[in-house]
Amino acid sequence: MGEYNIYMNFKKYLSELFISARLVICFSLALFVFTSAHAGEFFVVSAQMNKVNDTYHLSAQLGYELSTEVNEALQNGIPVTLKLEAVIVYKRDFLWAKKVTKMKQRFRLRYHALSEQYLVKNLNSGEQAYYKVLDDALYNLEHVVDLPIFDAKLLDPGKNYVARIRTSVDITELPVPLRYFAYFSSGWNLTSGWFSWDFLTQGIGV
Amino acid sequence: MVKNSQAQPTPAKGLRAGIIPALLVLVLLIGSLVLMSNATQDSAQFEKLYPTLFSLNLLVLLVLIILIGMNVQRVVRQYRSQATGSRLTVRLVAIFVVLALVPVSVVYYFSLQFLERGIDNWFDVEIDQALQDSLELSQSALGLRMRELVKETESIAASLVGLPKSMVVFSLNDLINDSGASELTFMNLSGRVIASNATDTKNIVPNRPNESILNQLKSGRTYVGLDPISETGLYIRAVVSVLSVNPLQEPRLLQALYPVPERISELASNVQLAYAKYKELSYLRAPLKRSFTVTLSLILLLSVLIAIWAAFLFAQRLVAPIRVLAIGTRSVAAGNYDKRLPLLSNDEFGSLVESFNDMTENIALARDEVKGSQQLAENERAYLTAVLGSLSSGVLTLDQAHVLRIANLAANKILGIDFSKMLNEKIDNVKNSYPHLTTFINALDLHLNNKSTEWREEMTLFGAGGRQVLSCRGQSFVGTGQLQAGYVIVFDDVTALIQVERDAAWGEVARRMAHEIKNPLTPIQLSAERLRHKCLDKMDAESAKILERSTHTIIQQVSAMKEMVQAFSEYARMPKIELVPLNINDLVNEVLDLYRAGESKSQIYLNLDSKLPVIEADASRLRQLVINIVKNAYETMAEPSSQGVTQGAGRDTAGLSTGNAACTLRKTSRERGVGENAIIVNTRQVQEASRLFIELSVQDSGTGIPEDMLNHLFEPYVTTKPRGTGLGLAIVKKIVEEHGGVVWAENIRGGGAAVIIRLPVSNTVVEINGNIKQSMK
Repeated sequence: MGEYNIYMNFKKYLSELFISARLVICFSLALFVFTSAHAGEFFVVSAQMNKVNDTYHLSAQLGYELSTEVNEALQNGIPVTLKLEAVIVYKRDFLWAKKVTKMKQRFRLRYHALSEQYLVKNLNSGEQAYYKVLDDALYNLEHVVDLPIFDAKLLDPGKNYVARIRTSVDITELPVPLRYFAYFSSGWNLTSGWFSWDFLTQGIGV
Repeated sequence: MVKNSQAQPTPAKGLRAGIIPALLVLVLLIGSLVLMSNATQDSAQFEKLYPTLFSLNLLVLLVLIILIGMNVQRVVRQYRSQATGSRLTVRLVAIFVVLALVPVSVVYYFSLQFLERGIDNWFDVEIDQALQDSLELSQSALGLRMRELVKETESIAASLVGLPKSMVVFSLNDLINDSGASELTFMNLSGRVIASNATDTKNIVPNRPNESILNQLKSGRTYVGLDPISETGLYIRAVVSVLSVNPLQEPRLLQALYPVPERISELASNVQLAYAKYKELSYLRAPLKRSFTVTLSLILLLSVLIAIWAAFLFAQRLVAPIRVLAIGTRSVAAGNYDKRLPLLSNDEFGSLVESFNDMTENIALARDEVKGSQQLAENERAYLTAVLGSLSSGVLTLDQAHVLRIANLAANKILGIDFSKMLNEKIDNVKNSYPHLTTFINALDLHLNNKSTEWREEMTLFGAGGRQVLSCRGQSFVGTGQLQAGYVIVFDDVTALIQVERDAAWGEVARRMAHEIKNPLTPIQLSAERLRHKCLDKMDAESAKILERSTHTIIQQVSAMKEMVQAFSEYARMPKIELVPLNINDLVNEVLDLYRAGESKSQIYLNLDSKLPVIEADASRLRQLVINIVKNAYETMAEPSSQGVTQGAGRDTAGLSTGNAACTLRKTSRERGVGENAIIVNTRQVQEASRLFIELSVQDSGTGIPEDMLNHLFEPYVTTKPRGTGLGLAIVKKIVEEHGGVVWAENIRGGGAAVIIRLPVSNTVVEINGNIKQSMK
């Protein structure tokens, strides 16, 4: 009789444990969904390199989904710098790839309270653009069209190279108090990861 | 003792080795913390250093944690193994840690509070509202202006309706001057510039509206907005559609850029700047607090960890000399006085260690001296023991309390006991273990108790070796220095010497007697015989009868005297004894057979112990001894009336009455007496004082021995018989003494006397299994 009670108690305890576990899993999932909705994501949809005269131009379709933290910071007047990095490497047999050249474009996005506009400034060229809506500003940033990135002389014609691009939030440009928590925050560590593709340099007459 | 100076590290060097790196690390750490603190406050010059400093501090933190972990592990290991000083180390570390933690924690708590409140104090709701209002005010002011300018732009656009492209350029020229705009741009819907005019000739490229503005205009709405162009201040951008006369023609756009008046632009920019700054600060309030808190916590953590590490360092430094001292003390306690402790510091601990080293050195010196003295004393003692051991005289020394201190080998040999077991015991205890020495010990006690400074005594013992005569000398000595006062007793076994002297004396007497007496006897005898021969025939019968009787008496007496002289000669000439194993019962039976064969009115009863051990004895002497005793008994009973003592030529038999009863138990028979003319011969085995004896007693049934004779009975010329020579029992005594035995006579209660002889069974020691308190006779 006593053993039966123990068995029943154990069974009850197990079922309760399973219910608790299910609850915990559901709660975690809900939390994940909730947080992931605001987590933000950067990605590269497509990219290509074109040679125009003696310069290679980059055209790319990027995607910027800002996280809650970044959005909140923007709304509070914190300038957010987005950077676009491009690297050309030459693959070698038996050795690691050789980095031929690299380029970094930075755009500063900030909210101008007086004009109620979002300012996008290319920190490399100094160009500024103003958008009433954040999405417009991001849309503009997502479409990279014929961005001259490096001199064609740096690459040997007729060789196969690998181009890599990546876009991310430049944490180092954040105000100091925010910066060091940003390093450890997934909301701030937004990066697309490297997007790579092979391309054949166009030789003379190509 | 040579100090091991090489093993001692210089205190200053040791201090530098431990403290200086620690101080260096501390200074570097504090420097990095200061820099980090500055970096936290957003100082531009330190901004780039912050990650390095932060990482460095984290690294130091990690190193400190590892160091402390190692220290904790070491201390725990020492504590568990109960190593010297581990408890003190733990206690000191605990005290240091508490002393460091408490104030730091208090400061930390209040710093956090101040930090929180300080940062919160930067912000005020009213300021927030004021800035918000200022912004709105600026926006309103500019909004009004913008609406006016839209209308202005629309009117310009209206004036351009229907104008050909070539005319538009000219119109724009006029219009720009009238409108007050800084730039007028005529473009199509996709933003391509058709014509443009600007007051500032530097800007050749017209400022195009972006896609979202164009999209807005495509939907038919006008656009007006404020453009904060960084180089040139605020501008109002107004973009309106320019209707076309031809409905098929694509509508055009007119964009006008109006500069905001400089003052208003400046004010609005200031408001924007202040608002943006305040907003940013408000937003950064929480991260700033977190940042300060983290920096502060890092500083606290580092400080506490450094304090803990320093606590370990100092605790171990403080405990080190104590540990060294404890180890030293332990080794000294274990008897190792050669241990030298290393000098770890120049402080009080250092002087303590120095004193300890001096102390152990002095103790070692003292110990060596004591060892030397002991060795000397041992040597002297060994020398003394050797000297005493080589002495033939027995030597005993006693202290004031009569405790035995020294006994030499000769003492053991003479007294037949092992004194080494009795050392450091009172001399009286010897009596308990060896009752046969009671006489000896009593004699010693007498002199010791009388505190005689010097004494000399001859004493007779009857011990294992039989009768023993000791010549004993005692002397007290006065203690000097460490030498305790006491007594020294020297004794010699003079039994043999006395025997020899006595034999020599008696031999001389006998020889002289033989010479002096025997020589005249023959002429006397011959004269008497001649007188009788010559005169007897010539005398009448009566005279002849008288002559005959007189000469006969003379001849008879002379003959008797000759016999006596012969006896003396024999006594003096006793040859050396030859000891052979002998059963005394056989001997007694053999001798008594002679008496049984003869006619006698006396009866002999034998009561012989069949288990009598064999003894070493001279058979002929013992035979003579038995004959003498039995003969003495016979003669006593043959002349029953003779009592009293006759000396000189009388018979040497004590007046012993006869009896007729035999008994089986001698003692009983002694007590109750025996019958008429009965002689009882007993033999038995006697154990006394761990020694074994055989006892031979011959008992008669006479009247006994007078008390005054008992002590002299065995001396020569002592007799109770008129015809005795007085030598019978003297010879008995002499033979008994030659065999190391003892003889005595005693009267028996109820009549009669007994001569008792005890002869030792040689080299036989019997274990004492009871309290034998019977004393020696």
